[in-house]
Amino acid sequence: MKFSLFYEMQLSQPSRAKEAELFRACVDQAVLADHLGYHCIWAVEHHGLYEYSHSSAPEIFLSFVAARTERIRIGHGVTLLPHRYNHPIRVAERVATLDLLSGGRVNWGSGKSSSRVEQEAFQNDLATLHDQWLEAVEIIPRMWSSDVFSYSGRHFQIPPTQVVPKPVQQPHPPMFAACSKPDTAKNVGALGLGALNFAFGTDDYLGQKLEEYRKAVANARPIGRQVTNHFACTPATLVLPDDREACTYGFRGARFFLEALQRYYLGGDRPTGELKIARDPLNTADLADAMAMRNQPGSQMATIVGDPVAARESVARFQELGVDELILVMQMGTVPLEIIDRSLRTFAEAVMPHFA
Amino acid sequence: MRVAVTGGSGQLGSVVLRRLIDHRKVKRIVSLDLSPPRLVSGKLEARQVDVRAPELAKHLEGCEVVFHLAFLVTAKVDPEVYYGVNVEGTRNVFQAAVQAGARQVIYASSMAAYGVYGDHPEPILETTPRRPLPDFPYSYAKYQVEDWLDQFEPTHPELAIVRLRPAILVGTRFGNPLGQLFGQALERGWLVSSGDVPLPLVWDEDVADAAIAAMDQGRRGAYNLMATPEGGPAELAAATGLKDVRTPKALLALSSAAAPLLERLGLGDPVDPSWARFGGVRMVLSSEKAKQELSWRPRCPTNADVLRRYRAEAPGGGARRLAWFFRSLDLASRGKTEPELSGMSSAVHLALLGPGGGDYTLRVEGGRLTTQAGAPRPPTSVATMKWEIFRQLLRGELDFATAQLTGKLRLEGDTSAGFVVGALVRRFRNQTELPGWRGQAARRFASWLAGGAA
Repeated sequence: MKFSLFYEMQLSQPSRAKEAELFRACVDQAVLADHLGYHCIWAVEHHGLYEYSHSSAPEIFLSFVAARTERIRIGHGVTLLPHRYNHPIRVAERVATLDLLSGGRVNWGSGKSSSRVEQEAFQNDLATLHDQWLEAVEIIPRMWSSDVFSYSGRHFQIPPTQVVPKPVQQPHPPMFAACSKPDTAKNVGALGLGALNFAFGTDDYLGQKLEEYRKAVANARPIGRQVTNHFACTPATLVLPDDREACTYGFRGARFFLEALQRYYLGGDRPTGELKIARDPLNTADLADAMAMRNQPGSQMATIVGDPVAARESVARFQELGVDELILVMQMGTVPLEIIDRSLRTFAEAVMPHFA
Repeated sequence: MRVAVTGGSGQLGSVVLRRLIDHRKVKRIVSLDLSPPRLVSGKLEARQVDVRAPELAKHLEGCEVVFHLAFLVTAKVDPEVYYGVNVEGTRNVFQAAVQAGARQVIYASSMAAYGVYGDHPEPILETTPRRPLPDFPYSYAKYQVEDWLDQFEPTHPELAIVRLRPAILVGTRFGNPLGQLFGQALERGWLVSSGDVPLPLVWDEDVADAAIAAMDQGRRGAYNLMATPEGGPAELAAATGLKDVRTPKALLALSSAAAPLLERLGLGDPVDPSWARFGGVRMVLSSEKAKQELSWRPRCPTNADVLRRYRAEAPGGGARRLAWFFRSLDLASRGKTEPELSGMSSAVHLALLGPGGGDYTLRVEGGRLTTQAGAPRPPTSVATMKWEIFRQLLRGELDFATAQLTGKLRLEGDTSAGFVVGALVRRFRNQTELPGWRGQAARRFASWLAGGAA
């Protein structure tokens, strides 16, 4: 199993100084992760999701990471493809450039975003969001493989154009897609794309989703030039030698993460300003319950929180289902940077070797 | 491992299915029942099959273990159907299991298999002789099955046969009219019994635990399962804060005469008078064998624990405030399509447990959310929590993330339950945070909603 890191660039109660500190610290963490043997640094793209995600220009962050690292892969998890966010030609150009400069280390994921904040800020046409995504995913790999590219579709009319540069990886960087709603995993599988599963679920449900995905991939009509049979999950993670300390920080972080996510995605509105959400540590009774709930039958596979023993048990659940990669969400808005550092090291030393 | 369950949609069937769904070694569950299941799982394959079906073995193909839980409880059907399903159907299941090459059948027999007689030794052990009681169809059917099994078992040594003999099953949701009657009375604070004898009860999830333990340990043989009685009904009622209500046995026996009276008492229509006639018979089982061999550790060790648990967990029917909440929600969302819900097609079962709770269906189709009372069958996902927890969420006293992380809220099936219930709570909270009259109205509604359970 592969272990990677997920960067939302979360900040609880941000200030300009905290923002600057966070971005630099995350590049340093990526350098550390490269040494510790993590597989990939994935960065999201969101716009205007104050506190939840300040990662609006992931290509810049990832370029910094690529410049300062040797081996670790560089992942867009994901690029937003409705063209008001990113025109497909620009995406093809940027991903190819990053692939060149990083020596062929790019993983490219795509999605369409579903928050009202983003859709309305960019005046997206909600009715055609999916079609826009689909058309862009289809033409971007063709831009990479054709010397002279031209296309006539529903959303894009592109006369013969030489899209340059070309990526290093052959036939092109592996392609992934975001999955959060039910059924999306099997739909992206049918297109031969790797699945970045952002949704949670019980062992039972995740197992079913994976089975459907594998079946779909086996019969895929690939939308790119190759099939990427790969299923990744994104658990909220914090691992420290002391179980209780890890849980105190980890569950607080997970709480902030989930509450902020819900606030933007399920509220039906466009919140501005500091989010009115729970961001404190769990109280003593709730913390005890959350600790006891870990890895219980029927529990959600949403977290890897605790000491290395507990973490190994959680990872084993994912492994048993056949998950290919865990993209650990350690960077959560309320977790101090030095704690994330310790968690990165503890996980690499005491958990990763057991799943080599 | 692949297993099959007959009666998977019933009361015991549903709690056994839940255990099997959570069981890591079980990869596939074939549920055979005439009605759709109450649970959802990728492992679960529901087939509409009668236990009397001649081609039953085909459905059990590849199953190592068969849980035979299908049984008609009350004899308010044609005697031929009753006998056909319960006795002949059971024979058919065992024969099909052998034919399909199953290695174990776990059969839900009953304490009634001993015959409902007051002169059994006390406590009744698994070796206590069983006696037929033709006047009580349920007891007689359970007796006939076990009598037949006594012949069948030695001729099929390759098949491990487990006979669970539980007392009367009490659970969060009753699966038969008789139990529902008992439950409705409990919700009114009445402990209905028909004689001065200890109530032989057992919590249904404890029976499911025994069934799973028998599977995990590959056991064979009979196991009594009963919560230890705490005195007679008077002591039990006192221990659990209930009112001791004795139904006159004679009156119950004359069911036609009793019907209008019971209906007036709010007990619904009485079912199968044979149950009432034998309700006052003293029978105490020893569950020592299950405790020793299966390591059975019931979560409700005494019958008082069973009743307390029922009162804490059963979704009390007719929660007026909750019904209002959903009606208003339904009206507010009528005709409105939500872009966030587009592309989803779900039937979410919102199960609110405990006094004041209830079962609701939240259906998402074509970008629209509609609500209705009752559970969907089958659901695409299930959100389960105590009504008290839901109330705290709506009041903003508890956040959704903490409810999820602590297991106060349990989500099963696809992700739509978390999505829909999360959106419901979030939007309600947003309303209460609005300035002006709309916010005030929502705040008032929230405090009214949270004001009481009734």
